[in-house]
Amino acid sequence: MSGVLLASARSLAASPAELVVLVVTVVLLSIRSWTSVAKVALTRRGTHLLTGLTVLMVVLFFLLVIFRFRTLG
Amino acid sequence: MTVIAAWQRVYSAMTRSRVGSLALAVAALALWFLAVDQANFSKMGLLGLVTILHWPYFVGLVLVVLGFTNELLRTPLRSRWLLVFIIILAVYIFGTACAVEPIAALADSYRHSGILEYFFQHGGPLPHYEADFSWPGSFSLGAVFVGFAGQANSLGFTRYFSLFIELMYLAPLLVIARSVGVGRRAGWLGIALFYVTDWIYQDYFSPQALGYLFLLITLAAVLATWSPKPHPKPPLSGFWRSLRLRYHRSRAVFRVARIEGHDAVATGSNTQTLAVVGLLGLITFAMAISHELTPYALILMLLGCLITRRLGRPELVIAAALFVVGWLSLGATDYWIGHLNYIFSGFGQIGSTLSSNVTGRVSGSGAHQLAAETRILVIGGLYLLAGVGTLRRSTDSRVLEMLAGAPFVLLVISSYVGEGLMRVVLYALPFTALLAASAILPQVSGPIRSFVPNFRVRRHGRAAIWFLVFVIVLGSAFATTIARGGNDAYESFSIGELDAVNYVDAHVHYNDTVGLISPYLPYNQADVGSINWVGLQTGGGASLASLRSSLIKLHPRFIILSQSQENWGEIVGGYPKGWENSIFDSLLNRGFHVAASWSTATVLERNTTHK
Repeated sequence: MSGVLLASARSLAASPAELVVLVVTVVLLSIRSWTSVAKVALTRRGTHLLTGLTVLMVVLFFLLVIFRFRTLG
Repeated sequence: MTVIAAWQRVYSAMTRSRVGSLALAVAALALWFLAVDQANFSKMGLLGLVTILHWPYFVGLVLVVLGFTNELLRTPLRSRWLLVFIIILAVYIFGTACAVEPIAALADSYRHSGILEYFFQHGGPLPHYEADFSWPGSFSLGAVFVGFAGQANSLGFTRYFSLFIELMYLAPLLVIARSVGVGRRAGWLGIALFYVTDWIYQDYFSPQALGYLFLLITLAAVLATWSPKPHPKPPLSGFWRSLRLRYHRSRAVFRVARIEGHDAVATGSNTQTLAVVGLLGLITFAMAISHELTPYALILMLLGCLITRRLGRPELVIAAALFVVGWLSLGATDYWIGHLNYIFSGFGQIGSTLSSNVTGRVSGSGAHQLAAETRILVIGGLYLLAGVGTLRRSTDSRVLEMLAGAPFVLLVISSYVGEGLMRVVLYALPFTALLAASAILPQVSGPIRSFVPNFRVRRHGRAAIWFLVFVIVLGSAFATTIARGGNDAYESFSIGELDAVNYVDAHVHYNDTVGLISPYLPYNQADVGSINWVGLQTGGGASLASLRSSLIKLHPRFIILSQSQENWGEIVGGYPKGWENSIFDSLLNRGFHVAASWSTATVLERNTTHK
């Protein structure tokens, strides 16, 4: 399946990767918001992991958007 | 001295009277009904709405502003009466055109009704047709309401929509005024200034009107939910110390803690804060799928709130950006695929954007130029006052200045088909109006000191403030009456014009072309996608002969000539009075005949022998 998606730029641009990353990022943002507002005790490492992962997903999402624009636009 | 003493007595009587407000409100409402009754739509001149309004309108407006000013400056402040006068003011500014004009104004109202009807009938968008179908949120919501109300289409909602949505704006405006860090009186004055300077006319039946409501609700909720964390250092006295303090506070903007929202504190419980964040997430998503510009303004304004310590959750800004860009990329593919330059062509071209938005609009007939210049004057005056307000007010956060300025970043990104500046001014308007109100009634205390020293207002000073408020609000209301209704001669329509469009809708075949000289008609409100409506001109400039030949080259089955198009030609196109008659005569000689006619519209049909 992944081989088919990566076969051409157009198929990758049309794939649900961007949507999946978007949903994952929103979920991560929700968790981050909830832990912070509800004062859920996270270890320092856990907090950094959550923030780092969120930033990574946001960056990945925007890279996928640029890729989609360049490929289909 | 006697004049001043007499004025003092009048001022004192006006601000202390108990029955005065009731009498003023009732009289103002009665005069509004009289004004609407006396206005004759068919007599409208080239300057639009103001040409058919008689003395009751202007006297009534004076009474409303008088009542509002009295209530604003009386002690104790009576919020209910201020609310009554603001509502009556909104009825005057936004309800008069709705009540006087026989059907809804603006061709786009009808186009949006047509799109909504398509959603209602087909349950989804029409692909590859026009950009509005790529942002279906508000149309889908509208279709639900149409079904809920048992209607076949949304035309019944369009006529009074401007008044309805402007009154809907009042609720978030009240919350913003109370939470944004201005005094109570300045808050009420800011709301009044918002209404009396809003000539921008984006409150017609449209996705942007709903998007603007969402924007105001989101900002109101943010401002009410978070307040600035108090500064640990006490304010210092002395010029250099004060300057140093301002420098240190400015540097704090770039700290990670500020971006993470740690410099704002929630005013409610954890559960309330979480609920607000969740709801605002939903609203930003609804905005992202409803309009192509408003959500970008919201992102900038939320970022402004974060920087000025009025938003405690940066996730909201990021989520809004993800939704907006995600929808553009995935949901609005139909809009940009194959022509990405639609989105990015205006990037960085601020000069041409400002030129097309300001100087490009001061053109056409004298009446049109007067209306355009009045618009510039109203907004220019408001920004001047806002500048003074920025210098005079003390506060706990510069969020107001940030929210008034943040939307202007949009001009760097896009000219938005020559309307970018107007939209940006509209997004900033509530905050600019509150800053302008602070010029007259500044807050004198707060950790962030005013740039200029404040002076103590004594008895004569209060009377002067009363006079200033009265003149500014009344002057703006008069000017906005001219500016807002200045295009009504060609952007509002008669029953005959709607009947002509309905006649064509009833007789046209699938994929037939219907020719219009300019797109100022109540068309495309039914069977979207099945009729090819073509409006030739929006800016004028072409000769009448070339207009006629362009019309014939379209091979239209029908051509509609109408009063609103005739007025457009005189006001914007630069054509002589009665110019449509020459087009009409030459079309009759070139294979068209009159299919139907009304006093304000004529439908021409191509003769069957002329293929």
